[in-house]
Amino acid sequence: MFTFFRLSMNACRECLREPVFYLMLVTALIMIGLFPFFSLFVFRQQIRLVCDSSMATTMLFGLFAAVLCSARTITRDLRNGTVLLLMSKPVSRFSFVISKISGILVSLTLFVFICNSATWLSILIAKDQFRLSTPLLCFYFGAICVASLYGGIRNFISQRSFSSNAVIAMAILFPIIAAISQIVRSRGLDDYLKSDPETFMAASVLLPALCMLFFAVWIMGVISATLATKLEIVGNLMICMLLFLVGMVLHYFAAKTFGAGTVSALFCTSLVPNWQLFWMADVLSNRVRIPASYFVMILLSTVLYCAVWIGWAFFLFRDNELARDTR
Amino acid sequence: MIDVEHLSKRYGTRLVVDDLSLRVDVGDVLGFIGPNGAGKTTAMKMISGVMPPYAGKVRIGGIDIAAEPRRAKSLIGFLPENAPLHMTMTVRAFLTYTGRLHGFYGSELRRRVDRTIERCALGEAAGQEIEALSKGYKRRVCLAQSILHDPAVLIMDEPTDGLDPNQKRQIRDLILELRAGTAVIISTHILEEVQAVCSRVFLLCRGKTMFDGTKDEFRAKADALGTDLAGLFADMTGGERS
Repeated sequence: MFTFFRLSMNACRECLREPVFYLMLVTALIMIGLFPFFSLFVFRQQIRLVCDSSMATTMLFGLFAAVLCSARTITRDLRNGTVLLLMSKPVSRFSFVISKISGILVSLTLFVFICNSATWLSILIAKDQFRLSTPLLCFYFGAICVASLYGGIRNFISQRSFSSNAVIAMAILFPIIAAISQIVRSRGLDDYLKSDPETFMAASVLLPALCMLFFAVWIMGVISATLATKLEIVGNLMICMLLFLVGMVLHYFAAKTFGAGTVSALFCTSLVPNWQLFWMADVLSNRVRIPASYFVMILLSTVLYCAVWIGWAFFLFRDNELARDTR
Repeated sequence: MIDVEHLSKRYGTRLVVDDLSLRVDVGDVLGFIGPNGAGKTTAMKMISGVMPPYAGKVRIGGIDIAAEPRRAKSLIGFLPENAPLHMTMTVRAFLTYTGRLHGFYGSELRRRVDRTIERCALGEAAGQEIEALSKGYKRRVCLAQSILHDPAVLIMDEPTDGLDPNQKRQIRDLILELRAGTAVIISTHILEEVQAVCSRVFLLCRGKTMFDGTKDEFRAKADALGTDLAGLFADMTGGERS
């Protein structure tokens, strides 16, 4: 158990230390932070615009992060032979695969957590159609700068990883700022700039919808980790993108071809995750609370998908001739 | 300590290790030699349990590595080729990490890490990231992780590859120091290394066993043919004598 924990922690740390992980996160955050500006071009639909765009950004960047993390911790270890060091220790192939996937999932969870906190903050920034909350906007971009500065100082003084320290600082700053802002807004403490009551979003509506993105990115993480046992980063990314696009439309075409609810249609749609099921932007824009039963169903289907892909990952890794470059 | 019986490995239809059998006891240093592509690294990987064989058995300290891999692997120290390490870790953090994978914690772990750093002369580099180290230092870090848990079996793939003469001597001295309580296999194609540290020689060519005996027997064979070790190596592996 301790071995599994150590390997997972190390895999997660490797992902967070990757500068590209930081770059992708910051790019996603900047995009999410800029979406409120576009609310000036829509008619009383600013929340919908910010929600839709931010969730799409999180999902798409989550996919890229998943592939990157898998390539960093699995493909590279296989290629340069680091896996030989680990496999020569009292570590089974099964615990190696499981711990690598867990490490990847932890880092992706952190990625989505920060993006979701940013989405929450971004929704609060878009106060109404014509005004943005300037103080919140400053806090938002200030958080990115402070976190990066913290990472830089830690790197300069104690040679710690810039990327991982900056990411962890963002994971602390963003939810704190978002939670404080939500409390301030819900109690009307910022009434010097009264927000449109129709656009205010209660945390109980917003948070479950954002949680759905964790499930989607976890599935992507497990799929890309499975593919990483055999494929290089480009092949992995291509297949993941294909699965993402196919998963978006397959249920529609399956229902049209075989008829909705038929066994053939169900079989067809169960092969590829239906990403629409995790997409709660419409629900958010209508202020509808997600039923607990739906949440549980999605959680169970996520666990099932992940279990199937982990099984496949183990099967692929079992026959893997380790360390291609050193053979 | 190491028992290998009829070990074979195929990559597709290509047989890279063909019916390899050997035995190494505590105190032995077996020089596993052969030309490039002979199947040495593949054999090392199978013996150390990181790659399953196509056929045959490997026993470490009487434990079948296929049946009880974790118990068998806890007796093995493996030094892979090319020093594949976690480059972003410091030397101390990396050794601590590998020590934990062997199940050491607390003061015992610290003691072992300190002792290994001292044994491998890594004191100056202990706080540095592995990525910033020279090739020689990286090799020593890799060696350090393989001896941290005092293994009964030490399997080393090209241990002195790319090192300068001083570093080579240090590593060889360390191997000679370790042999007292350990069965050692060294995969190499440097005959000078065989002469310096090995007590036995095992010659592999195109996956097949060409010679298995003591170093003196190997030398005697060369003398009988009126050549040196390099000449005998060339004769047995189908190469040309220089």
